[in-house]
Amino acid sequence: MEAAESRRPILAICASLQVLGERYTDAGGREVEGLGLLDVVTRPRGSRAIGELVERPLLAGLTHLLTGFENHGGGTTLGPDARPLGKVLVVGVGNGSVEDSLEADDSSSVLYEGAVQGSIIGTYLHGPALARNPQLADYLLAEALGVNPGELAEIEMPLVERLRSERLEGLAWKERRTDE
Amino acid sequence: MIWVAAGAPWKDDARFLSRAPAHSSSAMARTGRSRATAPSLPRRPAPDWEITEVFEDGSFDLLGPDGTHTRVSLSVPGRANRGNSAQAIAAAVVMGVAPLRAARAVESVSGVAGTLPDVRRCRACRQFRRLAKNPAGWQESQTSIPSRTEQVIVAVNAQRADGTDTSWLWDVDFTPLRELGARRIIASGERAADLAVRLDYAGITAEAIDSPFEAIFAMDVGPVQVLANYTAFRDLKKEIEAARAKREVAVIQMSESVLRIVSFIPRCWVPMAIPATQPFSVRGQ
Repeated sequence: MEAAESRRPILAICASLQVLGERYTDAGGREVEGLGLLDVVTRPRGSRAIGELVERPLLAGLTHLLTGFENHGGGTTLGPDARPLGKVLVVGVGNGSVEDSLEADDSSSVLYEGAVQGSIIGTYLHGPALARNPQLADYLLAEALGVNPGELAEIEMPLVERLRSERLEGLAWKERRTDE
Repeated sequence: MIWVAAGAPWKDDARFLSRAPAHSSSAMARTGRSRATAPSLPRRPAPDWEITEVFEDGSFDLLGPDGTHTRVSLSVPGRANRGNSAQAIAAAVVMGVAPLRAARAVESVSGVAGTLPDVRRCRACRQFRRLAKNPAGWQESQTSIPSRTEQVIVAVNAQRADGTDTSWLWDVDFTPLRELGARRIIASGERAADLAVRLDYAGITAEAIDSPFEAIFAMDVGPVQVLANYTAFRDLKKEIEAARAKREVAVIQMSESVLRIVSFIPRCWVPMAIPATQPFSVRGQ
């Protein structure tokens, strides 16, 4: 609560995302009040969402595709104060709740993933999320340090690049940097 | 003249019949089993001995004169050796050796100086295999690796039977593996890439080689510890068996978890012997 109030970055994954929300339904079927830091509600989806997940991030500062693995039985619906982290591409379920499209002209059903509000990023990405997505890790580190991501010392991680290539292989979308 | 049909896969040594009369159409046509040229020129002779069928494990049926018919199972691999052994049998028979005795004799040849892979190309390794199916199992397996181990392969798949979510890799404490100080560690299996990243974060430098079977032969000659989860372990066993059936490796089960594997196949293929081409003789011009 303190961290959220002082706007320090918080990464909430899977069950954490749910617990930070307004309420969720537990394994026993009871509705439980969450911490209310994220304007989201989670209910059982019926079927479990398990598998690879790729999304195009909607958060400013994130330009690389996000890749991970999801494994959740809950479906999360975002209220007006929360925005999705990304738009699901090709593989994955994401939040598991049909969202209203953010784009007025988008007529097809769009799947969204995650919830961003204040300094909190909630997501269903395992993988682990940070190991598979160095840009996300850099974003959080930069926020925590109060610097620009570009000011962080670079680390070469060819094994991570290889893993990302493998996980993103076969997708029509290639990674692209759209800024700097 | 005794003719042995030993197989002639290499066709590029002679496209033209060098002794054909001038101005004749001298290109050789290899039509199926019989090389045909212009009607006046010689045809492929009918063989006295013939390799009639080659089986999946490399053994072959040999048909000889007087109805001799025997299955030959060599101790050395490769098409060239099959052809050579058929000719050796034919020669032995000419010199008075009974055909079946000659066949059994060639089977006992386990090495031919200068042509078989020498020690340098023979990869012998003792493989200690450990199956680990869950984080607790992985923790235990690491601690059971002998302290002076120099080479370790860790193989992880994520098929249904293994659990398709590889998050568990991050619940395993790989400190014991790091502290082992092995000279070479290879991350392998279908999820070699995920594993390599995990090991990197654990302070372990590992090469990533997807196939555990290939990884074994990428190691230096000597003992190799293999830690694998369920389907990676199962698939490695299958690959070893398949290679054994094809006579590419010899496998000795030294104990329930220890195999000695000797490979006859060098990793960079170098032709071992000149293939025996079909003898061809031209009479007259």
